[in-house]
Amino acid sequence: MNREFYLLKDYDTVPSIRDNIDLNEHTFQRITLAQNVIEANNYISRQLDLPLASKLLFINSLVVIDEVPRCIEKIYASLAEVRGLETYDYSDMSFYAILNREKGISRLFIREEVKIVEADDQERELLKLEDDDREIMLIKGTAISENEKPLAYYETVSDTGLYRYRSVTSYE
Amino acid sequence: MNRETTIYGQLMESIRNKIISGDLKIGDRLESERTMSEKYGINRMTVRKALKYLENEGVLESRRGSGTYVSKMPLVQGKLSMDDSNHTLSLSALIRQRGMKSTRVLLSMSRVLPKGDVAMVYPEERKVYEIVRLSLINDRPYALQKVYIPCSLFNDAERFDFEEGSLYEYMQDKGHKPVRFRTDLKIERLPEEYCKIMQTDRNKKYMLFEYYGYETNGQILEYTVSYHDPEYTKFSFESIVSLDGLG
Repeated sequence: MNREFYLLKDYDTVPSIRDNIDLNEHTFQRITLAQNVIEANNYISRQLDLPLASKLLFINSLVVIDEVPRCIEKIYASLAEVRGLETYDYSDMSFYAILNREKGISRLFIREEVKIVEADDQERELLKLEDDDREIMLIKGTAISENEKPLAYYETVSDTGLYRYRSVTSYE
Repeated sequence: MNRETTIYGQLMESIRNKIISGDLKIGDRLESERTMSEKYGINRMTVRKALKYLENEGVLESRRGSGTYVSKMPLVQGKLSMDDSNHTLSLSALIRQRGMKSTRVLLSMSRVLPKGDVAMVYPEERKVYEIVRLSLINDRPYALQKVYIPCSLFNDAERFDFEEGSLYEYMQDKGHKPVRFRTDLKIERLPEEYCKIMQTDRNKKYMLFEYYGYETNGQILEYTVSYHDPEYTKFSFESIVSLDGLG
């Protein structure tokens, strides 16, 4: 299976493959697994600094690159911040592109936590992992708007080759 | 953007920093809400909010009738980096401050011909030092580091104790100091020759850091390849992104 494509996350990389992939070089497909309004559980409400049971827009997608499923995305967005975007088709434009176009949001502060964990059965099946490939990359992220409000919490589960990170620090 | 402009945010940051620096250790009991309120001249509700948020993060634990206690190390956030500047903590310092015993073993040190990725980093160098170190947590292998420094700048590295001493201390003694760092993270399997020493099997994946340290004039001083056991490792990454022009 062709898992050669990877996204290098740098200081200003939007956390969306769709916005970072060259469609002349690769094929891209986002398959919506679920898209609905849900209530925030205790964990999600804490990530978004919202009261328990707050309404959220939940989008669950499978991303396929070069005909190979590479990651499972779950986005939980505060409905109060994204009202009107509940029924958009996110298969062609990313959530972030639609935020920019429809809500005028131009900058986000992104905070991500990266771990390697063991894949569960559903993840193994969706990502079509090989038998001896037990581990996946789990990214938990929060997108915060310029007025310091957490706008969305997301979890991305992918094969371990999909994402790389780079940081540059200077003490001059 | 600075989330710590709020009073409760500042108090949270202060408590986190005390835990990271060792002023507060895991299991220590914090001052009471009233004491903190009087000490800092802030509303008691503000103190309660800060403590509540830290409890939600798992850093503090409230015990009814007893008080609030430190329960775990806060996540050290910031750029992915393993240098020992005052912005981030060195690998060993991070492990020690989690209340675990950390040790380091020098596996080998030799002058080698640059090959492969090392040759690409040091195209002009005839020889580089290769320093291989193993970090252990509670006597269990945790990270394997291969550090490459140019022999042309550091010609007596064999005389330095890299098991106990800091690489950057040695570099500074030699009149060189990296001031700019690039860190790359990807996930890979450990090279087969290190599986035995890391007590792992070939299939397990590790967090692989490639770490480049540059001097003021842009000269590269250090190239480190470091494999970290994911059982003890999670890293955080922050960025500010522009959404204009997407789609």
